[in-house]
Amino acid sequence: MDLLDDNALDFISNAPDGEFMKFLEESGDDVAELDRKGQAAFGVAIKKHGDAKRGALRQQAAQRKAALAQRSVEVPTDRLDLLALAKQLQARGAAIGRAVSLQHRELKDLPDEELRGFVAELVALQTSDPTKE
Amino acid sequence: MDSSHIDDEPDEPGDVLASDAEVDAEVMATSRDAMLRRRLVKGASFLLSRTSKLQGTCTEEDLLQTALTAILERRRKWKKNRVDFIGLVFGVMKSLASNADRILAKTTVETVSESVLAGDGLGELASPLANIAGDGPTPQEAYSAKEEQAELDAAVASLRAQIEPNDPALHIFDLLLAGKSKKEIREQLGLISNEFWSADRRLSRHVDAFATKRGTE
Repeated sequence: MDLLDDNALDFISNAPDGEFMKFLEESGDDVAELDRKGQAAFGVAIKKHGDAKRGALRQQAAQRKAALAQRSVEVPTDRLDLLALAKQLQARGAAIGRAVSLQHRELKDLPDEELRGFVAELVALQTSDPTKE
Repeated sequence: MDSSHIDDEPDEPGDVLASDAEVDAEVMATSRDAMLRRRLVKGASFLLSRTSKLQGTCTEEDLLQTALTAILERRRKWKKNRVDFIGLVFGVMKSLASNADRILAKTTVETVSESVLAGDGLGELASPLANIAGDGPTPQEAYSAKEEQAELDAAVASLRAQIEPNDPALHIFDLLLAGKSKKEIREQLGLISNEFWSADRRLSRHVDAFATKRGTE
């Protein structure tokens, strides 16, 4: 029976359109109903897949955000390290046209707290740059 | 279409796997083709009519949608060198229907065994040890297999009897059972394309009606 079933399936998938339509007619199949069922099946599968893809993108965005938060926490506390990192980020920011204003001051003149804020702002700015991702 | 080997098989060196973009594009293109959608729904309906337990539990829409989802989520790969997209969907539906039916049949048998055997003194047969004690089939299994084969032979004979003796569909029937491919059959019968597909339609119609009738009995 398997051979006969496989042959019937082959007919259903490969027969010329005219023979296939005649087959449906002889089988008493309602073509409009087949069309409705086909559209519904494709509609649900495509929507489900789209939702899953969007969910994955949202998850990726959340992971990026979490990584960014993690990086801002990792801003060094030691002043010398802070100054070195700030200088490095300033140079990279200049290269990509993104800068944070020091309001006409030098890095070395900033108190620790402002220096940390400056570094965190540069990190956020450069990480959110789509060309750097 | 040849959907006899689809995607449960391991990849081989010459296999060409479709990319994500190709799969997505093919699903979208097929969703816009009314004739292809009809063929897939009819195929799903046919496959369900061949199951003993699954029919009545799920619809052809469910089967088609589940197959498409499995393909879109890449749980089923499309090896383009082996099968076209429609063949892939048919193959995945066939595999899903067969697996689900087997699981349902097993569950049903176990449930029946527990309730029936507990009351008639044959309860020990349900023990897992009874199943691994012997190497070959038990007399009961051998009897069931023989009975199943006899039923199958009767079904094939009954189906054959429904085809007109002079109909080329009967020759296709016999040659298929003799293991010939469609191409070989067409060459052997010397039929032109229209004649061949027309005879194949009548045969497929008998097979479809027979499956539906058996399913409702």
